[in-house]
Amino acid sequence: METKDPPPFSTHSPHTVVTMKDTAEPFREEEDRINYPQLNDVYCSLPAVSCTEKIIICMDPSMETAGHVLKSKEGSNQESLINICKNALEMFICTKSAINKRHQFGLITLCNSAAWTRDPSSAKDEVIRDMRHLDPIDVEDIFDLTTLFAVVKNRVKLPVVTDPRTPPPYIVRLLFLYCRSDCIPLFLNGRESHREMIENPYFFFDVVYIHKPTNPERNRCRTIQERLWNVDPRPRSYKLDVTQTMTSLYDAMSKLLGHPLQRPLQKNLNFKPTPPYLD
Amino acid sequence: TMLKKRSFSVINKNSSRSGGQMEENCDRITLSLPLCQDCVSWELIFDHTQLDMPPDFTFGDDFNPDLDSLKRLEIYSLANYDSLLLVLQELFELYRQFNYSKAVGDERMGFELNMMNEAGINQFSVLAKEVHSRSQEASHGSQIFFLELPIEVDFTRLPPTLGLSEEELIPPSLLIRFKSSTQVQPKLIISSKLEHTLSKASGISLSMEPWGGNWGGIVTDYLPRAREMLFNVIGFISNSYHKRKEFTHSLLQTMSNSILEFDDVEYLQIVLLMEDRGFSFVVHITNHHTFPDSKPTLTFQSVYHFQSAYTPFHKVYDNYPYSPRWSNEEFVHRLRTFIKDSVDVFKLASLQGGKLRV
Repeated sequence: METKDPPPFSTHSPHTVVTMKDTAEPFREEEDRINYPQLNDVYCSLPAVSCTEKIIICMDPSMETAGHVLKSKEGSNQESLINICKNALEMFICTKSAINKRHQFGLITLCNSAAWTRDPSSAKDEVIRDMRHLDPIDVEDIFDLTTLFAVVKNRVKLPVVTDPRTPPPYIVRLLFLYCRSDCIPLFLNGRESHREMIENPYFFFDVVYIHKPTNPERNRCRTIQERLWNVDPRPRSYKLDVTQTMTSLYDAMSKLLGHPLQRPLQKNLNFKPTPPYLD
Repeated sequence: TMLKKRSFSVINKNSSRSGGQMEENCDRITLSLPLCQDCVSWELIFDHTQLDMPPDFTFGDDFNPDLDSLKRLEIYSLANYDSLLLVLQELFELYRQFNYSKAVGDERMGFELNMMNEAGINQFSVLAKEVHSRSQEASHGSQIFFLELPIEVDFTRLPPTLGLSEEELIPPSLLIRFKSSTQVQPKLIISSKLEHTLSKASGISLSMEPWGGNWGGIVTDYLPRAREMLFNVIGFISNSYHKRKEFTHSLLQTMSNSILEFDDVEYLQIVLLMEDRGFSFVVHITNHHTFPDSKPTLTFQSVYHFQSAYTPFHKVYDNYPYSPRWSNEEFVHRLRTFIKDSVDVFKLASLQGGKLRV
């Protein structure tokens, strides 16, 4: 069985710096470019240790997730996006926990802003239970990215960097699952927290964008994706795009199982058991 | 304060004490001093009306030192906080010699000590303990001897990642109880944490051979064998650690682009994400402390299906070919081929046996 071809614009380059071109947006931000060149050198020297991960899962229970339906590859099964997200997240949490019991999971709910829902903990059954209790909610047509980084900065202490080659006691990873096809996420109140976190080499930002098929006349998926891809310009973050099938969401979550300090760069991922010449 | 000389009476436990009035002025302290994993109790009796005088001593057995010969007793002074300690140290040294003399006077012990002396073994402690039972087994008159010897161990070969601090790396010792010339019981004296760590890391339990068996029946034969046992255990741990590390690095080199996570401390675990014709799955490679003698365990895990609450569907595959004589490169190559050849079987099993949600 072959997977379908991904949508054209999802073959992204993590290093792209994107400017906002659509001037019809009701909200504008101060800085369009995110470019912190001083960060780039640090990543070559990070130690490849399997320290504890504090993974903050950002779930998007907007009403769109109840209505948007993903189908199985054969088309025989279908399920609402929010339910598939929960299933795939449960698999993710259980697998991460099986790999290393010390990993911790926290929850943030994405409404119009980011709402802290659960402190990181390694009690996976409790985390999964809380995650499953999230029901779809009505949201307005805005999402304020400033609040996301502000709330994480307030609730989670990032390890202090002395020497980037020294193993940290833990790392912090935001797993940002965004499911809206019309609501462009914006930094409405500045980027101070964002900058502070992005400048810490033990903070990681992975994004999964799940959306309807891109159609510039009908939705804003292309713009939203460009925005999301630009939140973290550093090479170590993962950016995954999911449109069509249930399996593709599970596959995206499985790629995120890697420990940020040990996993390959996204562009180098290769999961074949044997090299091509042996196939 | 002037130090007054007075003649001391050593109050023997078994004889009567001096008069009642003196008792009212006394503070008694009982000291417990370790020797050969046993304790000897001494009582110190202070007269609190004459605090500048050293205490009287009560010794538990027939130890009866000549207190006049104690140099440190002469210079005892309240002004020097170490005075009492110095006296006790000197007394304890005399006590050790007292026990040694008893051992030398015993036929069996004398023989052992003589052999040890010739072999250059001069770090040890000996304790002669009176036995009050009417058992006819003890043939040292009424005495049992204990001999404790340190076992030289080189801990530097241990991988630093075992989680033992400097303080925990206490050298073990060999304690031998000589109940009679034929009833000899050896015992390994080792901290429980150290023993547990070494056993777990090697898969070997640290056991001692019976006296008079394969390790011999005299100290100069037995001690080197005990040392060798510990040497081998540490060597085993060190060798396995380095082999696991080399294997991990070898695997990482060829499969770095499918790594999810690996144990960078003990090299006991590598987790990979694999994909074959649209079917993704996780491979857990769990290594063991007995590697390379034993092979790692392979567990395939579905990323779609569960088999029970909070448990993703998984299957252990142990039947892959393995030889500890293969090079790492050969082994990694064969592992990859095995994984590829096993995908279809696992996929079918997970579709049949797993559920998308439990």
